[in-house]
Amino acid sequence: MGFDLTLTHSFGSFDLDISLSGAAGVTVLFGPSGAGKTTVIRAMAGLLTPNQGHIKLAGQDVFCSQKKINIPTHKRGIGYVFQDARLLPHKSVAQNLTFNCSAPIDHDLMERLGIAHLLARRPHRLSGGEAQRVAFARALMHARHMLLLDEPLAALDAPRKAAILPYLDQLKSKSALPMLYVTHSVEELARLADQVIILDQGRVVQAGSVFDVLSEPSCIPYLGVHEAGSVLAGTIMQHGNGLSQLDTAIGPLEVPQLSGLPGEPVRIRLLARDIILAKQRPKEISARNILPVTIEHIAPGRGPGAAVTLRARDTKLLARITQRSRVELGLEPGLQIFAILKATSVSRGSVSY
Amino acid sequence: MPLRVKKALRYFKQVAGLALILLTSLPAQATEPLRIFVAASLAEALMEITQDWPGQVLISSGGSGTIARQVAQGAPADVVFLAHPDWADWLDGQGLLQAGSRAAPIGNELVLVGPADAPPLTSLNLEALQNRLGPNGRLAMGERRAVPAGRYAQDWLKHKGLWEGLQTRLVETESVRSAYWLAARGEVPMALIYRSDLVAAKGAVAEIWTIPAAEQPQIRYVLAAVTERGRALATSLASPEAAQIFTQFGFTVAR
Amino acid sequence: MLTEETYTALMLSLQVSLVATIAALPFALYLAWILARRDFWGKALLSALVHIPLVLPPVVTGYLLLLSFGRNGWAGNFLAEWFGITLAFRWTGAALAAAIMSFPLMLRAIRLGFEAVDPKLEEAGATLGLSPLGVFMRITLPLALPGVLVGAVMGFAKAMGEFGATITFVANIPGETQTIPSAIYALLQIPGQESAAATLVLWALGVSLAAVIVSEWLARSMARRIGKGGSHGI
Repeated sequence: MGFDLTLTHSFGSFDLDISLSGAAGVTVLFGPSGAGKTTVIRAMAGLLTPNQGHIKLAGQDVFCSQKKINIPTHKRGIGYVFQDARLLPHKSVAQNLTFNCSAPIDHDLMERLGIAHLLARRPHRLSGGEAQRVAFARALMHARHMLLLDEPLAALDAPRKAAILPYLDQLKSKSALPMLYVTHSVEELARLADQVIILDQGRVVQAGSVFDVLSEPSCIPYLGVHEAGSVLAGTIMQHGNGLSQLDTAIGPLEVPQLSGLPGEPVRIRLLARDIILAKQRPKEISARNILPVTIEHIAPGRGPGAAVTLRARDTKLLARITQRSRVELGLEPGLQIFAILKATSVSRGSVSY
Repeated sequence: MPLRVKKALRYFKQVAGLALILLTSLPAQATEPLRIFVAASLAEALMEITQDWPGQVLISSGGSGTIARQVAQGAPADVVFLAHPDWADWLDGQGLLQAGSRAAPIGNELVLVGPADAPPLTSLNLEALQNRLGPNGRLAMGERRAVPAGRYAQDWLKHKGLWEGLQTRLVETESVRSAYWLAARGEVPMALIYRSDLVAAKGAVAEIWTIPAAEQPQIRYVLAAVTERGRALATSLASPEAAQIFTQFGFTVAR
Repeated sequence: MLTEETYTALMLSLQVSLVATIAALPFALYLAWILARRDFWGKALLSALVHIPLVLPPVVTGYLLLLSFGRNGWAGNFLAEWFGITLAFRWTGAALAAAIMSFPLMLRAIRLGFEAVDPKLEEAGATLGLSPLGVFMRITLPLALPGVLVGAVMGFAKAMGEFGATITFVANIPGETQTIPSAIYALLQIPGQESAAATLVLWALGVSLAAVIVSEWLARSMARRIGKGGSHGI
């Protein structure tokens, strides 16, 4: 199970020339508007025929300009979630889910997506968030080889988006299918991605696991200085005093209490701007997390900031400080220092499962 | 009121006044043409006859029923020339015809025709007609009640005892000219039309059976003036000189 | 009020108009879909071509039909020789004339119906495993149904009133090709038949108005079913 894609396609302003592959889990295609993300995912679905290239889905050639193969969309075994829900207005929710599909409705999935009570409704009587959740379920029920999600949350306002993200975590954990997820939201990327491919101007500028890519200073321009930061995987150890203790790749961390049970996996996002660096282990400080780290690399930014790549155990961490602090502290690669992280800076919204 | 609107209004008044003067003075002019509403089959003959009339004559032709209804609704006719007395009676009954102007100077004959290359029939009976019609052919004629020629055709077929047998083999048209035209085009092998149509056809259809005078229905055209101005023209059209020209077009002169 | 003759003309008109509508519908659907969804060379020309009956004098259309489908016409000859079908002077010919005359109206309404269907839903249909035909049958057509219905009823009403082309092509044979308009015309050619003509006019008006009202009601209830065309996601 997985996909391979190599294609070139002419746009008005630039050419798309791209090669990427993905396996099980969520591959996020990230980049600014007009980078070519939508072209790639539409080509994957057969909704767009690229000028040239080769697309392989679950071991089968679905497109090959050389061999003149172009399997139509309806035979590609995909599920597709569009930016707008595109529910069939003449069918009920249940009929939309089972439309052209013999599989019975999975009530557990309906519960997880919070749409079990909506099955008899007509699409025009759903809210935007509800409609999009139905669209997720429908795509999931129709997907045999792959699930394609084209900016599925972009049309929703912030509160609806926040409300739907936990459902997507559910979807991700429930489905074994490879997913290609197009977004320009760092939040969605950090929360859902296993693999990340960053596109700009029709080219792949960065690809790899979400943990590596988000700790890469060269990605900061694409993510934005306020959004940049590493993602860490961890396990809940225990709860107490309103805090949860996590075991992560960079050592134990204390964060505001989470809803998961001890032993459950979590993912947390540490924004680069929230990490404080100190040459000495600080004493009598309110911050709960003080980690010994090694400076691996320092990349000056275009403005007053500098991106510092840290290594804690075997894991990279990204911090952002001012150039001036860096000079005053005399920070250089190879130096052993301490990274300080307030427990409260790990917000609930940046935690996922 | 803005000046521009005032100016426009004054201009409009002037134009309207001028138009009113022109309109009211027109009927007084001696050059006002006479209008004559005629049955379609008469149009060509009348064009020739009215050529020498010392004034302009406009000819409007159509089905007799249509013409009569138009005249009853105030159509500007000075003279009517209809293909059946019934419609003249109908107009007379409404007091629309000038008293004493009515005349029936000409008539017509029914002819059985086929396409130009059709050979004459050797005998006239149901079998001979059916043979000529073949499996799918039809006999064209005017609609049996609405078109005068159709009424005459029906009468004659009944008289010959052919009506029942041909009931399902008819094409009834909205005018006798259409029936003629279907035969000329070869769409039907036979049609019952007027002799005047046959003459006008100039060889496009061929007479395949001559209906003897004794069997001919009484076909009478009726002429009448509608306006006082039309009287002179009506009289002229009923003259022997006019009748002379009508015979050249295949019409018969009333005995 | 209903003489046997009037009844015959009424029934014939209904038969002719229904057959004309049903026979024209598949062609209208196909052409409307092509015009609404496809881009191809000569599209404007095709669109103009199917509108010809709308601009041509009906008598001319009838004349052209007779030239083509008469027994000396190429199409008439072909149909007669290969299929034994005769259209000229038959009620089937009246149906053909009515179908051709009502086709542009029917096509226009159906095309508008198709154009009102969001192509994005058709795209979604493909991702749900529907072939192009499946997309048409299960998404486009059901959603365009109000437009299709309006088109069919407009076509039917137009067919009920068709006169010029019909009388030229198939003449005015009582019981065979004398539809309501032909019968009204014939009655108006006879003095004193005004009230019989008026009866027919009322019947024709009644049938056509009833069809329009019923379709209006159906189209509205259908539109309500699909949320008046407005729903999240389209």
